[in-house]
Amino acid sequence: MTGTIVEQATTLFDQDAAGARRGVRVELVDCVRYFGSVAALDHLSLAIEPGELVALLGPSGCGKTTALRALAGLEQLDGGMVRIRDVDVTRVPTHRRELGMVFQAYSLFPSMTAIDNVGFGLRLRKVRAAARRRRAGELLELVGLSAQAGRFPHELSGGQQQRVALARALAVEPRVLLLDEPLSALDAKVRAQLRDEIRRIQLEVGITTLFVTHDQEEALSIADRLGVMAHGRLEQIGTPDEVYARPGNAFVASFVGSVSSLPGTAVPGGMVEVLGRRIGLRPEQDVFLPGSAVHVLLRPESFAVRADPLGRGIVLRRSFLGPVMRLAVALPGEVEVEVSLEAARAGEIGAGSAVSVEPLGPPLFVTGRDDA
Amino acid sequence: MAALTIRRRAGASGAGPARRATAAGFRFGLPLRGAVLALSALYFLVPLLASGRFALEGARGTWTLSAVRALAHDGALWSSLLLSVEIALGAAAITLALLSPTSVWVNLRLPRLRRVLEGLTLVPLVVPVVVVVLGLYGAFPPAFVTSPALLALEYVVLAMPYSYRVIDGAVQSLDLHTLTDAGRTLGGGWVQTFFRVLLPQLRTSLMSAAFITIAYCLGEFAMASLLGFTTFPVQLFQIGTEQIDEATAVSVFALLLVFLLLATLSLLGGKRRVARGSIVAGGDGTAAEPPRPARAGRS
Amino acid sequence: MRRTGAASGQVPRRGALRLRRLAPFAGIVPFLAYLVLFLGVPSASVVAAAFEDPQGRLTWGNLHLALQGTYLLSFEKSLELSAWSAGISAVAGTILAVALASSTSSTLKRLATSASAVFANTGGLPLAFAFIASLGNFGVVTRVLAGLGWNPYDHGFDLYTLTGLVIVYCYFLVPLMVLVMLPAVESLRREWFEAASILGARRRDAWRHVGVPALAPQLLAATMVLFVDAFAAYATAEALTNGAIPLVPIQIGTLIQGNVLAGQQNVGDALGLAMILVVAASALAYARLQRRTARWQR
Ligand SMILES: Nc1ncnc2c1ncn2[C@@H]1O[C@H](COP(=O)(O)OP(=O)(O)O)[C@@H](O)[C@H]1O
Ligand SMILES: [Mg+2]
Repeated sequence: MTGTIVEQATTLFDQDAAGARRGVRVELVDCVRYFGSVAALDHLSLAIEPGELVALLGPSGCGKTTALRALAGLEQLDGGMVRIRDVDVTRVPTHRRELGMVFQAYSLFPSMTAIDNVGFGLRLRKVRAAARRRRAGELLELVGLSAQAGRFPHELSGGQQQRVALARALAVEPRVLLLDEPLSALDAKVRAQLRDEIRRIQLEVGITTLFVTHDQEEALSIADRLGVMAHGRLEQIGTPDEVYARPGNAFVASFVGSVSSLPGTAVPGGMVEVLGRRIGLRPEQDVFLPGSAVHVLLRPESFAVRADPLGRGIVLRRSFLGPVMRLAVALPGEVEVEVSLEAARAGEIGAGSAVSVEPLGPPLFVTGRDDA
Repeated sequence: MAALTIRRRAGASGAGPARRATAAGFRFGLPLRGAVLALSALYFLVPLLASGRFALEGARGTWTLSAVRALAHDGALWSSLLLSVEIALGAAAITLALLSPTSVWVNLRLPRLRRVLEGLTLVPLVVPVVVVVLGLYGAFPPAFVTSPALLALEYVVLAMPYSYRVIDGAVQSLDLHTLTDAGRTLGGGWVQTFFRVLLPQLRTSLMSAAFITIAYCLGEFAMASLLGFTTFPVQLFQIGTEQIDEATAVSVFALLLVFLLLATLSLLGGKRRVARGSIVAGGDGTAAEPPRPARAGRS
Repeated sequence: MRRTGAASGQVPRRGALRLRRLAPFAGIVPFLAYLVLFLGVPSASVVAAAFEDPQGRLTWGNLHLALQGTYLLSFEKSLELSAWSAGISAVAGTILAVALASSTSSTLKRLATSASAVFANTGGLPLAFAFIASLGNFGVVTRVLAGLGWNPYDHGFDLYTLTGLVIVYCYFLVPLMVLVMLPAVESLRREWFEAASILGARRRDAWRHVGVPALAPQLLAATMVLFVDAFAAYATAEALTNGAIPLVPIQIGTLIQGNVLAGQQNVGDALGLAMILVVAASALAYARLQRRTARWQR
């Protein structure tokens, strides 16, 4: 099954003889865009390497869509530059940028069938009808919708519509693929499935891709690199595990994945004291004078949890996440932490149970605390 | 849309002069839009203004109210107006009595026939009025054809394409089943439920429907004139053949009056719709979209 | 939803069953009866009378007469008038609807909608008078233009001609078009336009391949309504031209008012029948086109 699709893909999209990816390098350079007094893009710079999939993650309203639309030329910039394959395209109109884009929803042309939608870009490029239909048919096959070729958009489910939109974007062999929350209008199951499929196709085609989402799980699972945005700025960019394990600042630490923030104190020897225990810091975290008050951010898995009648923690809630159990635990001093433990060992622990909670180092992130 | 409307560029700090905003979809940019709107305004306003000037024009370009004054004392005009108002009120009453129960019934008991009925109410649009008049002479006894009641009865039909749409639209937006169930658990029969529960909910729309019917009747000329009734427009026509400035004066005032009333109605209606939050658009304009593109009326 | 069978569970007799099924239809009988009596019966009577001579015998004579001489000419004029008015108004109305949809002021839009509703429905006499007052021989605009040294009446313009009628008819047909097209234009999604441009479409390509096809069903429907409206209009033409231009509705009006030659009493009915046929033909043409353009709609 996969074999045939890969074969198709190699014939569908011409690649160098060496088999190198055909993707191109794309850059946003120091981009600025204001809406009224809101800076949707605040000196944003972002480079996407050929064939790479970069996911832009951030809270709603942080400027992700604006960044993507600026790349497409759908949004004018107040400052900065867009470069595709090292050529400044800032003033090139959208229709000449040779991009592909998938919107959140409702972007299929209502008066055209699925196959005509997919063939639209080719029609504009004056590809003859027969060749057009052939290629559009191949792309529909790539997204698994050959049987629906003759349907109109309103006769397709949301997931199917997004597949057609993807096929349509890819049909013109765009230089860059842009996806703006393509999955957020779909229900959970279809979402996960289509996400994996987008990634599969992207890898097969080798196209440089910018994927915008506010769903961190989606971003973490699909991206080669993950950019985290806030207030029109790029807070951090790196591989998903880098960003997850080594957040560059407190915002990234708390936005990607779950964290608990605990009050602590820096102590000599490159350690902090938190919940009465000392844990070691990574060298780059060891920047606090001994005795200074800090916030220590810890992942749920950075705790050792035991049922303990004498423990000082009280379980507030528990939620079952398959292999692990997630617990919300109240600790003295109005501190609430999220911890996880293997589901198998969580047997007798429930809401109201007393537990002991110990931090395991090193922490995810440490910041200074002025309020102490 | 709302998102687009507030798109404005801040004084681009050091980025040179603000560039033109990307044209947003199937819309016209400012120059084209301005030109089209200005031309349209010219086409639609000039005749109105000209009528006003014409009506108030005295000898050698002076202004005078003589045409208006002459009209105020024109007994025939007033009695024709009275006749028109009587006919209009009659037609409005029949319209409400006939169409509102029909619409409720269809939506409640025969939802599959809704489109068929809607289609039927549009038929009067395609039968020329002159043809109907011909048929009235042929089909009904002369005594009936010479009674103003017939005019009222016919106006119900002629205004139906407009009035039924208003009523049916409102009825469709009600949660009929819940309402009728509620009404009947409270012990009312069909009739009581209709009057006590449904009608109050429909009040505004019924008023609009009545108003549309009345406006239609007050302006209708062809049928009234061909059936030989001296209604307001017919009298106006008569004046027009002798005193065009007087006729113009009256027609301008009539038009303005209708316009003001309709504008008020629609502004009121529009406000309410806005308040219910139809213009909640996210930053990227996709947040609060209706699930499907709204379709225009199929008139 | 269908409720059959009595509460006792007995199988009801067939008559009773049928009665139950039909009961809901009782509710629309008054409406149907009203429509039949005040629209159906008169129309049918016209059709029947078209085939009768004054003595009540069957004949083709009326139709024969109706398709000759002035009557035939009036059909030509009427069709010409309605085709031009509908065509021009459809284009202008759609453009105006797009301009309104592009406007950022919701007050302007609401005002324009209300104004359109008024202009579209109260055409008739005030309209004729307004144009006489502005573009008639002694109209305000005519005099202003003459004052500027360009009297339109010296350059071939005449309000009381077919061209004049087209100008006047557009005054109520354009607003009608706007009423229908504004919601349609507003439902054109920005995403469609943007998706098209990203795929390489220039502005005009996007309109041609995406925008216009999406509007086509409403556009067609509205144009048909415009055509029929113009074809059937009586008041404006009567007030403006006093019968100087032979148009079918005016001819019928004249016949109704008793200007009938002996033996031709029913020629009006034949004209009426022919009008109905024209309307029916345009409805048919519309239905065929609609099947093509609206295939993609639910
Ligand atoms: N067309 C617009 N008009 C006004 N403000 C806008 C517009 N588009 C975006 N914004 C504002 O710019 C900011 C960034 O928006 P956006 O890029 O859509 O965010 P995201 O996609 O990350 O949710 C938000 O504050 C939003 O309100
Ligand atoms: Mg967004």
